[in-house]
Amino acid sequence: MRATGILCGLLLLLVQACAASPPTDGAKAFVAAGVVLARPSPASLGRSVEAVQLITARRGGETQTFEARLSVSAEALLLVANDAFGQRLLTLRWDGRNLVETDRAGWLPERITGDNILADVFLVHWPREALQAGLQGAELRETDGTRSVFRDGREVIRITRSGDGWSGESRLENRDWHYELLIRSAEIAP
Amino acid sequence: MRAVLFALLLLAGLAGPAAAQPLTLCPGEALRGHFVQERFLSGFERPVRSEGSFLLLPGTGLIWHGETPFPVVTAITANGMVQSVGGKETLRIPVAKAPFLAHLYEMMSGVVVGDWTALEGDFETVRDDRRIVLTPRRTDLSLPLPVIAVEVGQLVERVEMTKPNGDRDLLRFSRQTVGSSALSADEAGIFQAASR
Repeated sequence: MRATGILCGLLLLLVQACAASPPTDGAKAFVAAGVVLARPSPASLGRSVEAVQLITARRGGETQTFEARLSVSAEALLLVANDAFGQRLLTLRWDGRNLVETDRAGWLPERITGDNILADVFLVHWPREALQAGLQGAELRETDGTRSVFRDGREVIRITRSGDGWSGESRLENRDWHYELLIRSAEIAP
Repeated sequence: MRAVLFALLLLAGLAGPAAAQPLTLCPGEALRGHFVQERFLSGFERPVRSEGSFLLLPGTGLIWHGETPFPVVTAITANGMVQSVGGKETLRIPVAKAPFLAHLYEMMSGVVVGDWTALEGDFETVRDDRRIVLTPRRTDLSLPLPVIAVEVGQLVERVEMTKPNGDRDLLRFSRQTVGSSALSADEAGIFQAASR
């Protein structure tokens, strides 16, 4: 197996996770069946942040880990995802009007979209008010340390996090698409 | 791959002809040390800094133990590469399924005995006093090799790896000691798990 084959395998989990989800729709992403999230603006985070994250994805009995580097300012969100070998999987830049994707690894399946990746970032880190405004087909509820997306009274996504999730561990469980993300995040000091 | 390259370079520092008085590992000896890594990604102002320790045991393998910002342990043996996060295995690549790992191992095995033939097959090496620059010769690899600049004293002190897209890693090694290969229980457990 060449390296490309292995790298494909590393993302099998995400491919599977996305395989059941419809493609994105303009500036929106389906985060569960019938549930759409419109991208909030970078400024609506309400602060600037630079962070590095180690993300462990689980689906079924499979577990994989990759690294993400994020920078958010009022002007733009920049995200770089690297595989376990330090190679770029893709680079995303969202300025509130346009989402630009570059450095996409040629073998990365089309179903892994920037919108799907960003949707999970927004769900974990963005303020409730910014998410609620762009959420269609579901309701966002929040209690201490837990944030949930309810569709027709059923909890389809559950997020547990400490603070706003930028420092420490967060967990996102998508019960519709049957995957779980454990996100270890550390802010990068100036 | 990075950890394998780092191991390769550590070995190169031990056996490298550029070092004035290079240390060598005798049978039954291990190299241990501390590392600080700064990763510079194009588009970001600040680097990501990580720290940890390593253990290089010729004939057995390498343990690359990142402590901050995340607890990641990467073990490389003749069987392949295994990575764990927070004590839980998250990645296992058998060498039988990864020819490039086997190839890097071939280079490591040569360098540890002072044979740079395999290394120089993949890299053009330019040596200048304490500095070695390795430029990849091959562009046909699915996992592109970086340009590597190494500063060597008695041991490797500093390594800079620059990728074609401008991303680069800067590593500084310190507190390096050549000593007994007796393993701690944790180290033995990591190698044992990696050799399964």
